[in-house]
Amino acid sequence: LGLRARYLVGCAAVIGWSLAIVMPVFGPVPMLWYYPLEHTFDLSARAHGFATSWYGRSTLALLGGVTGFVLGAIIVRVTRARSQRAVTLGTLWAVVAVVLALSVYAYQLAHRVPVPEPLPTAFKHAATPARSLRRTDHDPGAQVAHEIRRERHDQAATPRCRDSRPTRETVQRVAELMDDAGLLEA
Amino acid sequence: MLVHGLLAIALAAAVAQELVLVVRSLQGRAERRRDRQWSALTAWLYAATMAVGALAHPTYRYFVRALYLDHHLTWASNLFDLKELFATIGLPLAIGSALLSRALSGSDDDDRALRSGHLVAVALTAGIVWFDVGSGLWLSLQRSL
Repeated sequence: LGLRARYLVGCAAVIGWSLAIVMPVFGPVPMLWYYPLEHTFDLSARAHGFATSWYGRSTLALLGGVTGFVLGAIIVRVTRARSQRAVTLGTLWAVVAVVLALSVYAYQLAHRVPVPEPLPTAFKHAATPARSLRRTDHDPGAQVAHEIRRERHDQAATPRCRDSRPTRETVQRVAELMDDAGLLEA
Repeated sequence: MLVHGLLAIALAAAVAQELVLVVRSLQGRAERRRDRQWSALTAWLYAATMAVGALAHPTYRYFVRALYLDHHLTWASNLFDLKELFATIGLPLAIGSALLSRALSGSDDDDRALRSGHLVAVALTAGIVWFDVGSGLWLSLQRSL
């Protein structure tokens, strides 16, 4: 194939890639879902639990690109399209497909209201959730210490509160955490 | 995340250089060897940035997006997903630009239609890269790993 023919095949691949990646927006499509907490992949139309679809959408786009490439190669070979007009049209169609894909996702995500995941138990009272969970996830003692430090910090930040003793709420919270971690039994 | 950010910043610079070279080649001041080199560098940086981002994705998706952004900054959650999907959409353009640049630098005829197509591909790639780098840095300012 000549350079123009290869260019047209490339345009077909870009069109296939762009159309494939927006397919899940218009309806359930079987694709790969990755479950970060279980570290597993699953091929299904819908997620069952907390999962990310980005790998699946990227794989879908790759499949669409390969399909577009193959179809483009067949069409270019059969029609013998090599003219300057064909190259310009190929460019325009590819641009339309890419801009369409970008616009569909921009529109969809501009209006999306994400459904928050329920926070883990050890996470609910932490001031900075993401950091706290990672630091104390496997260390219940550290979680308890963190709760006490947070309480002291809150008291220090409140000018009128001069009492340094932990409040009843804090004691209950710490007891719950210790109970969850099995420290009370010990 | 740091490597991802550094690669993304290098990519933003590389694609800007590539865009300048392609515009200059359309004006008749082609530097084919440099054009080919910068296109290849852009494609490699694009792929490397995406690969590193793909490795960090599950951790960020749970610890930052699910546990913080979805609760407190929903617009940032949407921006994060938009940036990731834009990057995927732009990947074939970056690779295609590099392949086209390589092919054009090896051919003697000055095909205006192909050069215009090359410019369009590089311009779209540049737009996506700059949007992604800007939004990625902005998201990191809100909450990072």
